[in-house]
Amino acid sequence: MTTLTHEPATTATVDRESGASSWRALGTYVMLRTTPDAVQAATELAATVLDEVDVACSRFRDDSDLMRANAAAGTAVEVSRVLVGALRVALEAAAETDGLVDPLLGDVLRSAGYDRTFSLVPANDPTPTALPVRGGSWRQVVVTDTSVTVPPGAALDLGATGKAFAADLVALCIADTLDVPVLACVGGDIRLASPGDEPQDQPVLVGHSIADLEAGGPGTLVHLASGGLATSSVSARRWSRGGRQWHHLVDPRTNLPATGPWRTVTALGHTSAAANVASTASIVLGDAAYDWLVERQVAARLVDHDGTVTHTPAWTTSGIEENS
Amino acid sequence: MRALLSTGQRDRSRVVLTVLSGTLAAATVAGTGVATAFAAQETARSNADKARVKAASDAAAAKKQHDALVKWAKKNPVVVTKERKHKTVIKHVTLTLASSPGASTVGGGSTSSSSSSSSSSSSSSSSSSSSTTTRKKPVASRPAPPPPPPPPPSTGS
Repeated sequence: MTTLTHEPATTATVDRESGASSWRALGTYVMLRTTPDAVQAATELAATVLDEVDVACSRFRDDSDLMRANAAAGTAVEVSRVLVGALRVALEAAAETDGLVDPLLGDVLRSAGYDRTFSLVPANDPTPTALPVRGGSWRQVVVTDTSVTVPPGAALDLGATGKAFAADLVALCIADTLDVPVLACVGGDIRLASPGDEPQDQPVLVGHSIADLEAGGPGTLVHLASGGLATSSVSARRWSRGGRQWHHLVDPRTNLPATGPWRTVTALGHTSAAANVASTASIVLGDAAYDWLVERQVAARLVDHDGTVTHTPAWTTSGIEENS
Repeated sequence: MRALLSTGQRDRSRVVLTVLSGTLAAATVAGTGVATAFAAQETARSNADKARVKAASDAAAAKKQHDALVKWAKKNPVVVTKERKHKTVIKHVTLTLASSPGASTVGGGSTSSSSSSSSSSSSSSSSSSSSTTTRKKPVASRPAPPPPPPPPPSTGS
Protein backbone atom coordinates (compact mmCIF):
# COMPACT_ATOMS: atom_id res chain seq x y z
CA MET A 1 0.00 0.00 0.00
CA THR A 2 1.29 3.46 -0.87
CA THR A 3 0.53 6.34 1.44
CA LEU A 4 0.32 9.69 -0.25
CA THR A 5 2.57 12.08 1.65
CA HIS A 6 3.27 14.70 -0.96
CA GLU A 7 0.96 17.01 -2.84
CA PRO A 8 0.99 16.51 -6.61
CA ALA A 9 1.21 19.63 -8.75
CA THR A 10 -2.05 20.99 -10.12
CA THR A 11 -2.87 22.13 -13.63
CA ALA A 12 -1.99 25.75 -14.23
CA THR A 13 -4.49 28.48 -14.92
CA VAL A 14 -3.05 30.65 -17.70
CA ASP A 15 -4.27 34.14 -18.61
CA ARG A 16 -2.87 34.79 -22.08
CA GLU A 17 -4.15 38.36 -22.16
CA SER A 18 -2.28 39.59 -19.14
CA GLY A 19 0.65 37.16 -19.15
CA ALA A 20 -0.19 35.68 -15.76
CA SER A 21 -0.46 32.09 -14.62
CA SER A 22 -0.89 30.28 -11.33
CA TRP A 23 -0.97 26.73 -10.01
CA ARG A 24 0.21 24.64 -7.07
CA ALA A 25 3.49 22.76 -6.88
CA LEU A 26 5.97 21.80 -4.14
CA GLY A 27 3.00 21.91 -1.76
CA THR A 28 2.49 25.65 -2.19
CA TYR A 29 1.25 28.31 -4.59
CA VAL A 30 3.15 29.24 -7.73
CA MET A 31 2.63 32.31 -9.91
CA LEU A 32 4.27 33.73 -13.00
CA ARG A 33 4.12 37.17 -14.57
CA THR A 34 5.64 37.54 -18.02
CA THR A 35 4.71 38.72 -21.50
CA PRO A 36 1.34 37.54 -22.85
CA ASP A 37 3.00 35.88 -25.84
CA ALA A 38 5.32 33.81 -23.67
CA VAL A 39 3.12 32.94 -20.73
CA GLN A 40 2.00 29.54 -22.00
CA ALA A 41 5.52 28.35 -22.80
CA ALA A 42 6.87 29.93 -19.62
CA THR A 43 4.29 28.11 -17.54
CA GLU A 44 5.08 24.76 -19.13
CA LEU A 45 8.79 25.32 -18.64
CA ALA A 46 8.30 26.39 -15.02
CA ALA A 47 6.14 23.34 -14.28
CA THR A 48 8.85 21.06 -15.63
CA VAL A 49 11.55 22.83 -13.63
CA LEU A 50 9.48 22.50 -10.47
CA ASP A 51 8.92 18.80 -11.19
CA GLU A 52 12.67 18.37 -11.35
CA VAL A 53 13.10 20.25 -8.09
CA ASP A 54 10.40 18.14 -6.46
CA VAL A 55 11.92 14.82 -7.46
CA ALA A 56 15.33 16.02 -6.28
CA CYS A 57 14.54 17.91 -3.08
CA SER A 58 11.20 16.76 -1.64
CA ARG A 59 11.12 15.44 1.92
CA PHE A 60 7.71 13.94 1.26
CA ARG A 61 8.40 11.39 -1.45
CA ASP A 62 10.51 8.32 -0.84
CA ASP A 63 11.99 8.36 -4.33
CA SER A 64 13.47 11.85 -4.10
CA ASP A 65 17.22 12.27 -4.08
CA LEU A 66 17.01 14.00 -0.72
CA MET A 67 15.13 11.10 0.90
CA ARG A 68 17.56 8.59 -0.54
CA ALA A 69 20.42 10.59 0.95
CA ASN A 70 18.60 10.79 4.30
CA ALA A 71 17.93 7.03 4.27
CA ALA A 72 21.61 6.33 3.70
CA ALA A 73 22.94 8.83 6.22
CA GLY A 74 26.61 8.27 6.79
CA THR A 75 27.37 7.16 3.25
CA ALA A 76 27.80 9.05 0.00
CA VAL A 77 24.76 8.87 -2.26
CA GLU A 78 24.78 9.76 -5.93
CA VAL A 79 22.24 12.51 -6.53
CA SER A 80 21.09 14.86 -9.26
CA ARG A 81 22.73 18.19 -10.04
CA VAL A 82 19.57 19.92 -8.83
CA LEU A 83 19.93 18.61 -5.29
CA VAL A 84 23.63 19.42 -5.35
CA GLY A 85 22.76 23.02 -6.31
CA ALA A 86 20.00 23.28 -3.72
CA LEU A 87 22.30 21.98 -1.00
CA ARG A 88 25.11 24.34 -1.93
CA VAL A 89 22.66 27.22 -1.54
CA ALA A 90 21.36 25.79 1.76
CA LEU A 91 24.83 25.25 3.19
CA GLU A 92 25.91 28.72 2.18
CA ALA A 93 22.78 30.03 3.92
CA ALA A 94 23.78 28.14 7.06
CA ALA A 95 27.29 29.57 6.90
CA GLU A 96 25.94 33.07 6.23
CA THR A 97 23.72 32.91 9.32
CA ASP A 98 26.05 30.87 11.54
CA GLY A 99 23.56 28.02 11.46
CA LEU A 100 20.36 29.97 12.08
CA VAL A 101 19.05 28.80 8.71
CA ASP A 102 19.84 25.12 9.09
CA PRO A 103 19.22 22.44 6.44
CA LEU A 104 19.52 19.59 8.98
CA LEU A 105 16.19 20.02 10.75
CA GLY A 106 14.51 17.09 8.99
CA ASP A 107 14.28 14.88 12.06
CA VAL A 108 13.04 17.72 14.25
CA LEU A 109 10.18 18.52 11.90
CA ARG A 110 9.37 14.84 11.41
CA SER A 111 9.28 14.25 15.16
CA ALA A 112 6.98 17.24 15.53
CA GLY A 113 4.52 15.64 13.13
CA TYR A 114 5.48 17.48 9.95
CA ASP A 115 6.25 14.26 8.12
CA ARG A 116 4.09 14.80 5.05
CA THR A 117 3.09 17.69 2.84
CA PHE A 118 1.61 20.34 5.06
CA SER A 119 -1.97 20.05 3.79
CA LEU A 120 -1.98 16.46 5.12
CA VAL A 121 -0.53 17.26 8.57
CA PRO A 122 -3.28 17.06 11.23
CA ALA A 123 -4.05 20.53 12.54
CA ASN A 124 -4.38 19.26 16.08
CA ASP A 125 -2.88 15.88 16.87
CA PRO A 126 -3.13 15.08 20.60
CA THR A 127 -0.65 12.21 20.32
CA PRO A 128 2.05 12.83 22.92
CA THR A 129 5.53 13.19 21.55
CA ALA A 130 8.97 13.58 23.03
CA LEU A 131 10.88 16.76 22.36
CA PRO A 132 12.65 16.35 19.05
CA VAL A 133 16.34 15.64 18.99
CA ARG A 134 18.74 15.57 16.10
CA GLY A 135 22.20 14.39 15.35
CA GLY A 136 24.98 15.88 13.32
CA SER A 137 25.71 19.39 12.20
CA TRP A 138 25.21 21.11 8.87
CA ARG A 139 29.00 21.52 8.81
CA GLN A 140 29.28 17.74 8.43
CA VAL A 141 27.19 17.57 5.26
CA VAL A 142 29.47 16.68 2.36
CA VAL A 143 28.49 17.75 -1.15
CA THR A 144 30.44 16.93 -4.28
CA ASP A 145 29.43 17.56 -7.89
CA THR A 146 27.56 14.26 -7.99
CA SER A 147 26.94 13.07 -4.44
CA VAL A 148 25.75 14.02 -0.98
CA THR A 149 26.67 12.57 2.40
CA VAL A 150 24.31 13.28 5.29
CA PRO A 151 25.84 12.96 8.77
CA PRO A 152 24.75 9.82 10.65
CA GLY A 153 21.64 10.39 12.76
CA ALA A 154 20.63 13.50 10.85
CA ALA A 155 18.15 14.29 8.09
CA LEU A 156 18.07 17.06 5.50
CA ASP A 157 15.12 19.39 5.06
CA LEU A 158 15.25 22.19 2.50
CA GLY A 159 12.04 23.84 3.67
CA ALA A 160 13.85 27.09 4.40
CA THR A 161 15.73 27.76 1.17
CA GLY A 162 14.24 25.16 -1.18
CA LYS A 163 11.33 27.19 -2.51
CA ALA A 164 13.46 30.29 -2.93
CA PHE A 165 16.04 28.28 -4.85
CA ALA A 166 13.19 26.94 -6.99
CA ALA A 167 11.99 30.49 -7.71
CA ASP A 168 15.51 31.46 -8.74
CA LEU A 169 15.76 28.46 -11.04
CA VAL A 170 12.36 29.04 -12.64
CA ALA A 171 13.00 32.72 -13.34
CA LEU A 172 16.51 32.17 -14.69
CA CYS A 173 15.38 29.28 -16.90
CA ILE A 174 12.53 31.28 -18.40
CA ALA A 175 14.57 34.42 -19.02
CA ASP A 176 17.38 32.39 -20.56
CA THR A 177 15.29 29.98 -22.64
CA LEU A 178 12.45 32.23 -23.78
CA ASP A 179 14.31 35.54 -23.72
CA VAL A 180 11.54 37.36 -21.86
CA PRO A 181 11.29 39.19 -18.54
CA VAL A 182 9.61 37.19 -15.81
CA LEU A 183 8.55 37.24 -12.20
CA ALA A 184 8.46 33.81 -10.57
CA CYS A 185 6.74 33.34 -7.23
CA VAL A 186 7.03 30.01 -5.39
CA GLY A 187 5.19 30.08 -2.09
CA GLY A 188 5.85 33.80 -1.65
CA ASP A 189 9.55 33.61 -2.53
CA ILE A 190 9.92 35.83 -5.55
CA ARG A 191 12.58 36.21 -8.21
CA LEU A 192 12.71 38.57 -11.16
CA ALA A 193 14.87 37.84 -14.17
CA SER A 194 15.12 39.33 -17.62
CA PRO A 195 17.41 39.22 -20.64
CA GLY A 196 20.35 41.49 -19.99
CA ASP A 197 19.12 42.02 -16.44
CA GLU A 198 16.92 44.85 -17.61
CA PRO A 199 15.02 46.27 -14.61
CA GLN A 200 11.29 45.64 -14.45
CA ASP A 201 8.48 47.19 -12.51
CA GLN A 202 6.59 44.35 -10.87
CA PRO A 203 4.07 45.04 -8.12
CA VAL A 204 3.97 42.49 -5.29
CA LEU A 205 1.52 42.34 -2.41
CA VAL A 206 3.26 41.60 0.89
CA GLY A 207 1.20 39.97 3.64
CA HIS A 208 1.35 37.57 6.56
CA SER A 209 -0.12 34.55 4.81
CA ILE A 210 -2.40 33.75 1.88
CA ALA A 211 -5.21 32.87 4.27
CA ASP A 212 -4.76 36.19 6.06
CA LEU A 213 -4.78 38.17 2.80
CA GLU A 214 -7.88 36.30 1.61
CA ALA A 215 -9.58 37.10 4.91
CA GLY A 216 -8.96 40.81 4.34
CA GLY A 217 -5.78 41.03 6.37
CA PRO A 218 -3.31 43.85 5.77
CA GLY A 219 -1.30 43.84 2.57
CA THR A 220 1.42 46.23 1.47
CA LEU A 221 2.14 46.88 -2.17
CA VAL A 222 5.78 47.02 -3.14
CA HIS A 223 7.46 47.41 -6.53
CA LEU A 224 10.37 45.26 -7.57
CA ALA A 225 12.85 45.99 -10.30
CA SER A 226 15.17 42.99 -10.11
CA GLY A 227 16.52 40.36 -7.77
CA GLY A 228 14.44 38.63 -5.15
CA LEU A 229 11.97 39.22 -2.38
CA ALA A 230 10.93 36.77 0.32
CA THR A 231 8.57 36.75 3.25
CA SER A 232 8.76 34.49 6.30
CA SER A 233 5.94 34.37 8.80
CA VAL A 234 5.02 32.37 11.86
CA SER A 235 1.40 32.80 10.76
CA ALA A 236 1.81 30.14 8.09
CA ARG A 237 2.11 26.37 8.47
CA ARG A 238 1.00 26.09 12.06
CA TRP A 239 -0.10 22.87 13.74
CA SER A 240 -0.45 21.39 17.19
CA ARG A 241 1.19 18.14 18.26
CA GLY A 242 0.89 16.65 21.75
CA GLY A 243 -0.41 19.93 23.13
CA ARG A 244 2.51 21.98 21.75
CA GLN A 245 1.90 24.66 19.14
CA TRP A 246 4.30 24.35 16.20
CA HIS A 247 5.12 26.36 13.12
CA HIS A 248 7.60 25.57 10.38
CA LEU A 249 10.26 28.10 11.38
CA VAL A 250 12.36 26.13 13.84
CA ASP A 251 15.13 27.65 15.91
CA PRO A 252 18.05 25.24 15.50
CA ARG A 253 19.46 26.39 18.85
CA THR A 254 16.47 24.94 20.69
CA ASN A 255 14.92 22.56 18.13
CA LEU A 256 11.62 24.27 18.91
CA PRO A 257 9.48 26.76 16.99
CA ALA A 258 11.14 30.17 16.84
CA THR A 259 9.80 32.59 19.42
CA GLY A 260 10.38 36.27 19.24
CA PRO A 261 8.73 39.57 18.55
CA TRP A 262 8.33 39.17 14.77
CA ARG A 263 5.26 37.74 13.17
CA THR A 264 6.34 38.39 9.59
CA VAL A 265 9.57 39.56 7.99
CA THR A 266 9.96 40.52 4.33
CA ALA A 267 13.41 41.09 2.84
CA LEU A 268 15.00 42.00 -0.44
CA GLY A 269 17.97 40.19 -1.88
CA HIS A 270 19.92 39.91 -5.06
CA THR A 271 18.39 36.44 -5.39
CA SER A 272 15.27 34.90 -3.93
CA ALA A 273 17.48 32.61 -1.85
CA ALA A 274 19.36 35.58 -0.41
CA ALA A 275 16.10 37.32 0.45
CA ASN A 276 14.76 34.14 2.08
CA VAL A 277 17.90 33.69 4.15
CA ALA A 278 17.47 37.21 5.52
CA SER A 279 13.76 36.83 6.31
CA THR A 280 14.11 33.36 7.87
CA ALA A 281 17.14 34.30 9.94
CA SER A 282 15.31 37.39 11.20
CA ILE A 283 12.39 35.36 12.52
CA VAL A 284 14.79 33.00 14.29
CA LEU A 285 16.98 35.81 15.63
CA GLY A 286 14.06 37.62 17.22
CA ASP A 287 15.11 40.77 19.06
CA ALA A 288 18.57 40.73 17.51
CA ALA A 289 17.21 40.69 13.96
CA TYR A 290 17.05 44.43 13.35
CA ASP A 291 20.71 45.06 14.15
CA TRP A 292 21.70 41.94 12.19
CA LEU A 293 19.84 43.22 9.13
CA VAL A 294 21.15 46.79 9.43
CA GLU A 295 24.70 45.57 9.82
CA ARG A 296 24.35 43.70 6.53
CA GLN A 297 22.48 46.55 4.83
CA VAL A 298 19.50 44.35 4.10
CA ALA A 299 16.32 46.06 2.97
CA ALA A 300 13.72 44.49 5.23
CA ARG A 301 10.27 45.09 6.66
CA LEU A 302 9.51 43.55 10.05
CA VAL A 303 6.02 43.25 11.51
CA ASP A 304 5.66 42.32 15.17
CA HIS A 305 2.81 40.38 16.75
CA ASP A 306 0.97 43.62 17.53
CA GLY A 307 1.11 44.73 13.90
CA THR A 308 3.76 47.40 14.43
CA VAL A 309 5.92 47.73 11.33
CA THR A 310 9.66 48.39 11.45
CA HIS A 311 11.72 49.17 8.35
CA THR A 312 15.46 48.90 8.02
CA PRO A 313 17.10 52.01 6.58
CA ALA A 314 17.86 50.14 3.36
CA TRP A 315 14.16 49.36 2.92
CA THR A 316 13.17 52.95 3.50
CA THR A 317 15.74 54.38 1.11
CA SER A 318 15.01 51.81 -1.58
CA GLY A 319 11.60 53.39 -2.02
CA ILE A 320 10.02 50.14 -3.09
CA GLU A 321 7.03 50.45 -0.81
CA GLU A 322 4.07 52.14 -2.37
CA ASN A 323 2.64 54.77 -0.07
CA SER A 324 -1.03 54.19 0.50
CA MET B 1 -66.00 -66.16 18.10
CA ARG B 2 -66.81 -62.71 19.20
CA ALA B 3 -64.58 -60.05 17.84
CA LEU B 4 -62.68 -57.91 20.34
CA LEU B 5 -63.56 -54.78 18.54
CA SER B 6 -66.59 -53.85 16.70
CA THR B 7 -66.26 -52.90 13.09
CA GLY B 8 -66.63 -49.24 13.98
CA GLN B 9 -64.08 -49.48 16.72
CA ARG B 10 -61.70 -51.29 14.37
CA ASP B 11 -62.08 -48.64 11.71
CA ARG B 12 -61.51 -45.84 14.22
CA SER B 13 -58.52 -47.67 15.67
CA ARG B 14 -57.12 -48.08 12.17
CA VAL B 15 -57.60 -44.37 11.47
CA VAL B 16 -56.06 -43.40 14.79
CA LEU B 17 -53.15 -45.77 14.16
CA THR B 18 -52.63 -44.35 10.69
CA VAL B 19 -52.70 -40.79 12.01
CA LEU B 20 -50.33 -41.66 14.84
CA SER B 21 -47.85 -43.45 12.61
CA GLY B 22 -48.02 -40.62 10.07
CA THR B 23 -47.45 -38.05 12.74
CA LEU B 24 -44.59 -40.09 14.14
CA ALA B 25 -43.04 -40.40 10.72
CA ALA B 26 -43.38 -36.66 10.08
CA ALA B 27 -41.98 -35.87 13.52
CA THR B 28 -39.08 -38.21 12.87
CA VAL B 29 -38.29 -36.54 9.55
CA ALA B 30 -38.58 -33.07 11.10
CA GLY B 31 -36.45 -34.07 14.06
CA THR B 32 -33.81 -35.54 11.83
CA GLY B 33 -33.78 -32.32 9.80
CA VAL B 34 -33.44 -30.13 12.86
CA ALA B 35 -30.69 -32.30 14.25
CA THR B 36 -28.88 -32.29 10.94
CA ALA B 37 -29.19 -28.48 10.63
CA PHE B 38 -27.98 -28.01 14.16
CA ALA B 39 -25.02 -30.27 13.56
CA ALA B 40 -24.21 -28.43 10.34
CA GLN B 41 -24.42 -25.08 12.12
CA GLU B 42 -22.16 -26.29 14.89
CA THR B 43 -19.69 -27.58 12.36
CA ALA B 44 -19.73 -24.27 10.50
CA ARG B 45 -19.26 -22.33 13.74
CA SER B 46 -16.44 -24.56 14.76
CA ASN B 47 -14.77 -24.17 11.36
CA ALA B 48 -15.22 -20.39 11.54
CA ASP B 49 -13.64 -20.31 14.98
CA LYS B 50 -10.74 -22.38 13.78
CA ALA B 51 -10.30 -20.12 10.74
CA ARG B 52 -10.45 -17.03 12.94
CA VAL B 53 -7.81 -18.37 15.28
CA LYS B 54 -5.62 -19.36 12.34
CA ALA B 55 -6.03 -15.94 10.73
CA ALA B 56 -5.12 -14.19 13.97
CA SER B 57 -2.12 -16.44 14.35
CA ASP B 58 -1.03 -15.81 10.75
CA ALA B 59 -1.49 -12.05 11.20
CA ALA B 60 0.54 -12.07 14.40
CA ALA B 61 3.28 -14.02 12.68
CA ALA B 62 3.24 -11.66 9.70
CA LYS B 63 3.40 -8.60 11.97
CA LYS B 64 6.25 -10.16 13.90
CA GLN B 65 8.10 -10.80 10.68
CA HIS B 66 7.33 -7.27 9.43
CA ASP B 67 8.56 -5.71 12.67
CA ALA B 68 11.70 -7.77 12.51
CA LEU B 69 12.25 -6.70 8.90
CA VAL B 70 11.70 -3.03 9.78
CA LYS B 71 14.12 -3.34 12.65
CA TRP B 72 16.66 -5.00 10.40
CA ALA B 73 16.11 -2.41 7.65
CA LYS B 74 16.75 0.42 10.09
CA LYS B 75 20.08 -1.10 11.00
CA ASN B 76 20.91 -1.98 7.42
CA PRO B 77 19.72 0.83 5.17
CA VAL B 78 19.82 -0.11 1.55
CA VAL B 79 20.07 2.49 -1.16
CA VAL B 80 17.90 1.59 -4.11
CA THR B 81 19.14 3.14 -7.29
CA LYS B 82 16.38 4.02 -9.71
CA GLU B 83 17.00 4.63 -13.35
CA ARG B 84 15.50 7.97 -14.31
CA LYS B 85 15.21 9.81 -17.52
CA HIS B 86 18.22 12.08 -17.73
CA LYS B 87 16.41 14.63 -19.80
CA THR B 88 16.35 17.93 -17.99
CA VAL B 89 15.17 21.39 -18.89
CA ILE B 90 17.46 23.03 -16.35
CA LYS B 91 20.62 23.94 -18.18
CA HIS B 92 23.91 23.42 -16.44
CA VAL B 93 24.75 27.10 -16.74
CA THR B 94 21.43 28.11 -15.16
CA LEU B 95 21.90 25.71 -12.28
CA THR B 96 25.42 26.96 -11.75
CA LEU B 97 24.21 30.55 -11.77
CA ALA B 98 21.44 29.82 -9.25
CA SER B 99 23.76 27.99 -6.86
CA SER B 100 27.00 29.84 -7.38
CA PRO B 101 28.90 31.11 -4.32
CA GLY B 102 27.19 34.24 -3.06
CA ALA B 103 23.70 33.15 -4.11
CA SER B 104 22.63 33.09 -0.44
CA THR B 105 24.62 36.10 0.66
CA VAL B 106 22.36 38.70 2.21
CA GLY B 107 23.00 42.42 2.30
CA GLY B 108 22.33 45.26 -0.07
CA GLY B 109 25.90 46.33 -0.50
CA SER B 110 27.74 43.09 -0.11
CA THR B 111 27.55 42.15 -3.76
CA SER B 112 27.12 44.24 -6.86
CA SER B 113 23.96 42.45 -7.84
CA SER B 114 22.31 42.93 -4.47
CA SER B 115 23.21 46.59 -4.33
CA SER B 116 21.84 47.00 -7.81
CA SER B 117 18.72 45.34 -6.49
CA SER B 118 18.16 48.11 -4.00
CA SER B 119 19.15 50.91 -6.30
CA SER B 120 17.21 49.53 -9.18
CA SER B 121 14.26 49.22 -6.88
CA SER B 122 14.46 52.92 -6.36
CA SER B 123 14.77 53.46 -10.04
CA SER B 124 11.84 51.14 -10.39
CA SER B 125 9.71 53.49 -8.38
CA SER B 126 10.85 56.45 -10.36
CA SER B 127 10.56 54.63 -13.63
CA SER B 128 7.17 53.54 -12.50
CA SER B 129 6.02 57.08 -12.01
CA SER B 130 7.71 58.33 -15.13
CA SER B 131 6.37 55.48 -17.14
CA THR B 132 2.94 56.51 -16.00
CA THR B 133 3.39 59.67 -17.99
CA THR B 134 5.14 58.11 -20.95
CA ARG B 135 2.75 55.23 -21.19
CA LYS B 136 -0.16 57.58 -21.38
CA LYS B 137 0.52 58.46 -25.00
CA PRO B 138 -2.83 57.69 -26.52
CA VAL B 139 -2.68 55.77 -29.75
CA ALA B 140 -6.03 56.12 -31.40
CA SER B 141 -5.87 53.00 -33.50
CA ARG B 142 -4.59 50.74 -30.73
CA PRO B 143 -7.15 49.01 -28.51
CA ALA B 144 -6.96 49.58 -24.78
CA PRO B 145 -4.53 47.18 -23.15
CA PRO B 146 -6.02 44.47 -20.95
CA PRO B 147 -6.12 45.25 -17.25
CA PRO B 148 -2.96 44.18 -15.47
CA PRO B 149 -3.14 40.97 -13.46
CA PRO B 150 -3.37 41.28 -9.69
CA PRO B 151 0.02 41.56 -8.00
CA PRO B 152 1.36 38.22 -6.87
CA PRO B 153 1.56 37.82 -3.10
CA SER B 154 4.67 37.41 -1.04
CA THR B 155 3.64 35.80 2.23
CA GLY B 156 4.76 33.18 4.65
CA SER B 157 3.83 29.81 3.21
